[in-house]
Amino acid sequence: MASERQISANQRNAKKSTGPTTESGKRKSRSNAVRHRLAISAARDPILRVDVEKLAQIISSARNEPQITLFAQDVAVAQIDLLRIRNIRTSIFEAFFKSAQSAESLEQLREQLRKLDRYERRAFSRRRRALRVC
Amino acid sequence: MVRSLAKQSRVGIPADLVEFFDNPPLVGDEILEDYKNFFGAIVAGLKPVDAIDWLYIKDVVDLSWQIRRERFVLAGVVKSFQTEVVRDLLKATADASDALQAAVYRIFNASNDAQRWASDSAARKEIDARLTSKGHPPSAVLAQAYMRGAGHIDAIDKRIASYEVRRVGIVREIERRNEKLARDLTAASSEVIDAEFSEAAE
Repeated sequence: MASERQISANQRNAKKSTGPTTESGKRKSRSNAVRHRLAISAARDPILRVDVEKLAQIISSARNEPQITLFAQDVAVAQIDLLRIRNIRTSIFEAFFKSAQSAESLEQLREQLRKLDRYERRAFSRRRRALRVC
Repeated sequence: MVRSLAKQSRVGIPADLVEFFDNPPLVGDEILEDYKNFFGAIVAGLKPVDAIDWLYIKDVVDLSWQIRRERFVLAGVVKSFQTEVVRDLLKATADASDALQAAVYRIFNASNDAQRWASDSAARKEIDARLTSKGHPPSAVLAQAYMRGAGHIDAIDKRIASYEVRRVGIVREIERRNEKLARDLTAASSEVIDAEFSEAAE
């Protein structure tokens, strides 16, 4: 357990680190954890939600459902995620082809695609599960 | 350049889905017309019944396109390592009877010759013959290139394999809904990719 002295030292130190103070610093730190937004489902993104609704409607119509079903919604979310992932993969390759295509850029390509693959696998699984019920 | 599939009538994408298909995954010098032809060649003769079939088809087309792209990257990587091996062999086998000339060749000309080997088929034949006479036939050069680039080549091979697995997975999903579509799609996508590479190799 921390002593009284340690606790007060911790509190003093914590006061020294108050995070960004300027507006631009705060803006930048807000997006520190955001790189490609793939961790956020398309359903939660206000712009992508419009596409999700449209696609869910198309899928529901294909199933002769007059209203959007939950399953169609799930399929649409996964599909929009897959399209986002594909766009990101395209931009990764775009950057690679513009680079010197050296050993380092090949390594960078490998690492970026490896990370992206995880999201793609999950999106495929979500769509497959949804379509099994659909 | 804005790349769009919107005017693509040959493929027959349903109007309400066009906006979701309207962003072909093209990079670098990949040409929209090639992608359209590729899409068209795979879709030709298929009879998708609804929007879900079309989503699956789009997946198979894009994965097949990705496989095609990775194969080009792989070919480029192998070629680049071959060029490196040729350069090193040219340096190592430079005529030792004249030490000064050999040094000049190693410093100034070996890299140029290796570049000529990579880009000019006549130069390639001449340099291959030169290296073969010194005990390094093209097969040995290729083997050394594979050894040098093993890590990168293996990574690309694995990616291609994972796209193949995913494509097969999608075809299985289609099979559950539409057996004939799955059969035709498997045949079409494999044929289109293989045909492209056989033509390129000829």
